[in-house]
Amino acid sequence: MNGNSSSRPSRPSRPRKPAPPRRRVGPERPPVEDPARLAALDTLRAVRQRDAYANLVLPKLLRERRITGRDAALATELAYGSARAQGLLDAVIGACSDRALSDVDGLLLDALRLGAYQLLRTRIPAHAAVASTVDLVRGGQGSGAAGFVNAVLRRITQQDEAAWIDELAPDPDTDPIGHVALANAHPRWIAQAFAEALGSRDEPLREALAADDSRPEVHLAARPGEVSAEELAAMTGGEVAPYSPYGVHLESGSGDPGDLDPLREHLAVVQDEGSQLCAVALSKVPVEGTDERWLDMCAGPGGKAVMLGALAAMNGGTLDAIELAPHRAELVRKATKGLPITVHIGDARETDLPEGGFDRVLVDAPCTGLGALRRRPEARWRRQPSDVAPLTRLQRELLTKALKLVRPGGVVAYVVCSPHLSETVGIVADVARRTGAERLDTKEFFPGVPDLTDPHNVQLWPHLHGTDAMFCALLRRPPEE
Amino acid sequence: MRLVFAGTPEPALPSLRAFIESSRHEVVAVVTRPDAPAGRGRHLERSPVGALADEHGIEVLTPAKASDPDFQARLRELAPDACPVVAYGALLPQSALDIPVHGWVNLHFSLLPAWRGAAPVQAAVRNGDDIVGASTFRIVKPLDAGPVFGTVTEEARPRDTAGELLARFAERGAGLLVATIDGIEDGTLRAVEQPAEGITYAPKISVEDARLDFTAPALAVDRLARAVTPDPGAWAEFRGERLKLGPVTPVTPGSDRAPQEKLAPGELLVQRKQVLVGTATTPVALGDVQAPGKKRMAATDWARGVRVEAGERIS
Repeated sequence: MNGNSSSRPSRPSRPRKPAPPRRRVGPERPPVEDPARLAALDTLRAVRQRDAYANLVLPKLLRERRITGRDAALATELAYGSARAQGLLDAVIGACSDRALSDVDGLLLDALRLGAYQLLRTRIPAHAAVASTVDLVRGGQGSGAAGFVNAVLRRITQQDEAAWIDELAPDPDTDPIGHVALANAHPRWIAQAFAEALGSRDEPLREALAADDSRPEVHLAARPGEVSAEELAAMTGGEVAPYSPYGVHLESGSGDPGDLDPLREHLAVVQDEGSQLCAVALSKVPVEGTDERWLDMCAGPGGKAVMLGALAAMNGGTLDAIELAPHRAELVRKATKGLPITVHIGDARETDLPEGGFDRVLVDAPCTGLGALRRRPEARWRRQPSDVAPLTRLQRELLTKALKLVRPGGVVAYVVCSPHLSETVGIVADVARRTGAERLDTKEFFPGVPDLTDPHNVQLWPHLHGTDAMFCALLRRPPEE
Repeated sequence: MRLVFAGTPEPALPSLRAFIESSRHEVVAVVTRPDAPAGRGRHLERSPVGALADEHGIEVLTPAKASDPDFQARLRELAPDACPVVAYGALLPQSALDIPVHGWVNLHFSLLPAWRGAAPVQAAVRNGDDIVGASTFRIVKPLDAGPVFGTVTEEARPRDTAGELLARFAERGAGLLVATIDGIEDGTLRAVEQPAEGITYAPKISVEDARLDFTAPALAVDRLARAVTPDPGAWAEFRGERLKLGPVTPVTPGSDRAPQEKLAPGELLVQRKQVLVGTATTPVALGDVQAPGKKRMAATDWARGVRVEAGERIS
């Protein structure tokens, strides 16, 4: 065989000049290795497209994708932060885009919000925030979209959050509420409702909105009779809560509290300290005569039912719990395992439980949830002023029914996680007048809690008490003559 | 006695070894936390107690929860006389507590009722306790509240880190735990209820808790640094990055090592043989330092490498 084959390429005498890098065609690109930002983006999309709850979607995504540690913390900060600040972010994005926001594709808008949040409200360097967001978009939507996102985000980087607020928010002299609302990323109507409840449009309002806009601590409630707050704090590394005898605070971002041993063993539940205080207050009011049958009229998902059930059990009593939605009733059953509780599925307004049959009744009424916006990142932008009226009708009917279910001399707690006056003072004053119920000195049953002004109605606030903005009023059915 | 030993990390090993070597007792199984992902590859790794049991051919039980009915059924089959426990790391429900004839006996690294909870040694160091020790007690449902069988004590050494103290009491406590089980078998030992006074709690220390605060007095900075060494490890921020710090040494005022000038809290002063940091009182000298992605090194080497400028601070 002739080894000198002509098909063999001859070696060039000089090394070839390196070719210029090939230009990429189309959107094809290796997948972006940024699991945290991708999870945050997918959460924002689920919230926008399916009306999902961010705080249900994200933990599930993190578990499925095995995202833990720093990546999980980043994903949480970005997803919840972007959802919480959405109105403010949209105002800035709108000012930096040559298209109207309504013309921007939803997926791009999610990405822009994610990028804008990083630029305005985190310490992530601007170049990293822009590049990572553009990469996410390029991976999903192609280079045209990426160019648009890049341009908008670069315009946003030209000023910081304070400067954008100065430029975009209403004039504080002519519209103080509008100004403080945008500056703290709240819809104007919610800021207005807070102002009315606080009786102030000045510093207290600003503090309330700022506290409402911050990441809350996780609050745990120790199950009475099972474990003390001190023990729970020692087991979880948390701090004993300042007001609730059963409360423990955990730093936010310290992982999924559901993984903690005491929670898995049903020794404690996740519950805002304000909720604990309301349930405890109901249990503390002295009643004459029997004190055996307690009732929780709107029990799902079961946090207060656990607290009340455990307190009732220590007293030798029992708790009946009503819940309308079957799946939530199931949650109540699970949460209260081992306690003397009977769970009923149905509408509490039409229950056939005996009227006058209960010594203590809790009405934790469905409400707008304006007091718990810290814990529901997207809720403030989803709620509408028109949600208030139908809820107040329901609240009035539930409280009226509660005063029938309780025996003469027994006590009712009316609780909502909202400071909106129509849902709080308005309901209680009206129902008390029509039923002749006695309004008790509610403040007295929140011992040690500062800054309570109205004796009949307790309104807690994030900026004053570190709790959700819970409202509680205690009423007594007049003893029969 | 027939024993089922419960424990998870390193400090439980001396006790388990002592029982394996004991001629009086038989370890019929161990209970330990489930295998956990570890290392760069996040592969599942046996706990130190599980690994030692494997070496000796002892059955290993790893229930996700001690309330798991399968686990409790197996425990009943094993019919232990007693269950010694050292740092098991999970709660035991009453149904599990009721299984062994003589109950569950815990070695806890504090002088109860002080420092109930997960990090007693760290709390003792952080609070500057003069006398430190370990106790054995019968486990009851409230956290670390059961009656005490016995204690070992010693005076704290001023430069002890939590790691060193724990290693020492892991050894001494093993002797105490074996003696306690012996005494229970012989019927010569009676447990004494803990006093109602003097109860303190020692929660687990998080990474965030281990950040040194140089606006505190030198004494407190030194104690916290020793309390969190080696785990989770003291740290502070320098130029926006997290810097891991070994234990620090307070500088006695007026000594040769004391600087001429007053340092502001957190202010760094690099000298030939030491790197000082200002606190609310006297400065402290840094020991080892580890920057992100770098090896541990002496503070003086680190300071030369990053070129600390006059007046720069860590916080």
